[in-house]
Amino acid sequence: MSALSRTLLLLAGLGLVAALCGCGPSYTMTEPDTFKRFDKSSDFKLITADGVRLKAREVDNYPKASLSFWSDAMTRHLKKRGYAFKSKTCFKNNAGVPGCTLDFVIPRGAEDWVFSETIFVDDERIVLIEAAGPYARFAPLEKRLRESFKTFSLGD
Amino acid sequence: MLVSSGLAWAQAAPPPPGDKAAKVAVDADKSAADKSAADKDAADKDARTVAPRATAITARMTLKVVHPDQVRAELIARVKDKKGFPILITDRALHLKVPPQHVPDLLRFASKKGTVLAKSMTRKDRTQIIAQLEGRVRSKTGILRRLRGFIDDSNVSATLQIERSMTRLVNELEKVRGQLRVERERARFATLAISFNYQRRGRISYVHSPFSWLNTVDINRFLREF
Repeated sequence: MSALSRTLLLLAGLGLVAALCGCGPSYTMTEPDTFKRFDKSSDFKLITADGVRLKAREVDNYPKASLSFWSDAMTRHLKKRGYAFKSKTCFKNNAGVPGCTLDFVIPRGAEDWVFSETIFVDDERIVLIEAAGPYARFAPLEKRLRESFKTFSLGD
Repeated sequence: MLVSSGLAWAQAAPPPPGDKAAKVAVDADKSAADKSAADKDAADKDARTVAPRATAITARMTLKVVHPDQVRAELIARVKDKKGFPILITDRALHLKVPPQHVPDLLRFASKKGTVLAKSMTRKDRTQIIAQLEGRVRSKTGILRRLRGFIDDSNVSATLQIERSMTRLVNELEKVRGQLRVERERARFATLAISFNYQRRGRISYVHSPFSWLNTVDINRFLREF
């Protein structure tokens, strides 16, 4: 077996291992004390004792556009879908990547829920931190969550 | 006839000097002219002065707060300070009546207590309807007064007929007075309707974005896939 074949086989093996362990982007964040992380999950997701949930994911930045473009598009889209716009906060994380948190309110059952979307635009990808919870439980956490978003690292 | 022609003459030309009667007539005419001018001035002044309008104000606000009970109590206390009063208190809503001049202050106060999701204000001019109702009250009161005058000179049958008419008129008058009172109260107190729940129409799920990933941004999808 040639050296090239051995190398290809090794790379394929590594790829298979990576696929099997389901390793996604290595997001990190200093979360508020009240949030607990699902360590064994391949997704970056957190939850509080009273059910406020947070999860990060990413999508393709296609068509390629800026943070302000996507913030605007998301606000318009969700408003059309009946979400009430609550607030917009833009900031930079510790690595200097700009992000914007858009908060919306939507009735769900007998309660109003907050649906929060934090957007980071990183070249070819858009990283989203999505969070939701009943207003009465989400609102007291907002300030600490915003501080935590500044510590969010987009990973590789 | 003589007086009449004398007056006509007095108006047509100045009297010869020394004619006392004619001088009196001229003075009277002058005085009447002055009075007429004064009336005209007063009317002009009235026309220039804009009468205060009777306006019914309704302000609506959707306010999201963490502790609605606490905010509700604070708002009621504030409204009582401003000589207003609550008309509806529920878990989800608070309706208040307040003097119109305090509405902006109360809206500011409420908005500092939480997140304002929606706010609107409507003003309806009630001046015309109030004026019409006042006119109807005046007219019906006048008819009633005249009918009372007829009773003394009427026979039994006519008296009964008059009484029936008066009873009907009194009923109508009370109804109009009630409407008038309601309209005046509408102008006297603004309504401030605060909802602690976002009660907009249900989500429109068929709205489709040309940016495909935006169609995946939804609270139901988020909770389902969490």
